[in-house]
Amino acid sequence: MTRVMDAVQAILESRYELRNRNLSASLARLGTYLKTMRQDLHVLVEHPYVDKDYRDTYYHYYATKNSAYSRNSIRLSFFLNSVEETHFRDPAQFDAIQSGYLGFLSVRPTFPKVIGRSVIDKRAFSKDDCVICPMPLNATANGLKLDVTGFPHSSQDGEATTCAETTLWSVLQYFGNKYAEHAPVLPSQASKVLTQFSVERIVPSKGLQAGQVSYAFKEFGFGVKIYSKAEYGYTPFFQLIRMYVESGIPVIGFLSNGSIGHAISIVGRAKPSAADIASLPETDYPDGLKVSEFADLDIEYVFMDDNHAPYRTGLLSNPAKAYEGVDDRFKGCELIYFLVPLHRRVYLEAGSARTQVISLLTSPLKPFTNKSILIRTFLSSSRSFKHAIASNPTMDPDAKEFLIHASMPKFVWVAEISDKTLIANGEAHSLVVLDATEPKQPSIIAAMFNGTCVYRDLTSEITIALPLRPYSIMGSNLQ
Amino acid sequence: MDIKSNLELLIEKLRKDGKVTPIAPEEWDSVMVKMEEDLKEYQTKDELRMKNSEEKLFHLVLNG
Repeated sequence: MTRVMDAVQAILESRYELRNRNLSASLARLGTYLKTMRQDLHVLVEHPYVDKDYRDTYYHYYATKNSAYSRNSIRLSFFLNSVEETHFRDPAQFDAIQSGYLGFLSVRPTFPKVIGRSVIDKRAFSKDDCVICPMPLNATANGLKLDVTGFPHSSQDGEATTCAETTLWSVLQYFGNKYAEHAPVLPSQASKVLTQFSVERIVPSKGLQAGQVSYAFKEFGFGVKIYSKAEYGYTPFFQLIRMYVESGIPVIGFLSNGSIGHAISIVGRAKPSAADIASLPETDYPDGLKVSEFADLDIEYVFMDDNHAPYRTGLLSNPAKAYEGVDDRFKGCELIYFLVPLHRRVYLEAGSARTQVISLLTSPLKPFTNKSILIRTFLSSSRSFKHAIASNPTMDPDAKEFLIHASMPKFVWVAEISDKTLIANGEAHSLVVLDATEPKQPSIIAAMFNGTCVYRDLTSEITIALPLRPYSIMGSNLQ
Repeated sequence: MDIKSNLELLIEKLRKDGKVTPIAPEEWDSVMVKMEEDLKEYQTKDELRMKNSEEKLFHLVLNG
């Protein structure tokens, strides 16, 4: 990485004529970022690079100023293996280049806040023992198209964008690049939407109100749901965050300590250890039913914070830990709200889905008595769910056929029911599927427990003897 | 022509195998009544929570 810093310094000095304080401050920011990455990576440095998001901000803001700003950025592309320039012109090397490609970082000429757009595979970072909401992207390096999977990140420039705009941009990029029904949004497009909902100018930015962020997501076609810690209480608030993240949906966390407000996105979690699972609390219900919930796992979550490098991890109860000893303005910052950008056809929110699952398990059906169970509840598209069922290596064939052919809406809530022993092997024994388009009444599509499937046929309710057998839990929402 | 979905054919096969048992309507109703009550209780609280927090959202300025 030292050679990378030397190369970037040479470009900053010779092509941007950067000197003194701005040069050292810019390099310090880049150095801090690169220190969080594996030091054995190979890096391709390219200049000039046209970063579409910076160009957009340049034409809408920086080019309108009297001072001269460059249009061009520097691009750093990261590789696991050694790559020579000649390899990029040799088809025999293309597979090797692709297999080692870990994404890119754009270094923006907004000195000293130079950390621009990036999509970097989490394997490029020193601490990568986590699973995240994955976004595949086709990028280029030295003219060659390459695929990378990561979560989009950028730092704020503090002038055209602050944390709120950057977090909004990052999550919109995620959905826009991943799903055909959304499109990636340029910073100026987001500003245009925000202008409609602001009594003051948006640029230069002095931050956004949390309500404006919510409004922007609504305008871009999402069904937004907001949760407040003061209203829901500490435990349910964090449970809800964990359920959405488990669903592969990045949530936007609003932090405050009373004097400063900050926005981050929460995009993944650490992999729980056996000890984490064993220490999960149990809640007692009638008839000897003891319930633990995956959403109670107090493990580290993955934050995308525009003041730090990507994939910073920390506990939900202390999301500003990385600022300790670095920036006192963030001292005591806590998550006080979170916003979840749901698909507009998801009408059943997480809390109602969880309520229904617990209600069913404690209903007169009494599927489990004198038993300890562990529930993992998440939202899934029915396509992904049925694909996971179809490719499940251990599920009973009749149960598979039943679930694949059952009529389902575009989205379903799934509760995989396991226990602390089975889950250690990545398995569950029972399953509840809820209709995510039915918000106001019980919405069971199928409930399968103890070898029995409860199902509402066209004319009546039936039970079907369908042993699920311990089956592999779904894992594709987070990677 | 009697056209049946894959699901109907599967359930028909399972019926023939003796694997399908009807649930007594009153048993199902009791499950639904409990679920409806629990859901309504949660959602009534939820509406109040949203009402209480909505205005505060516009006082939180995100400029960190």
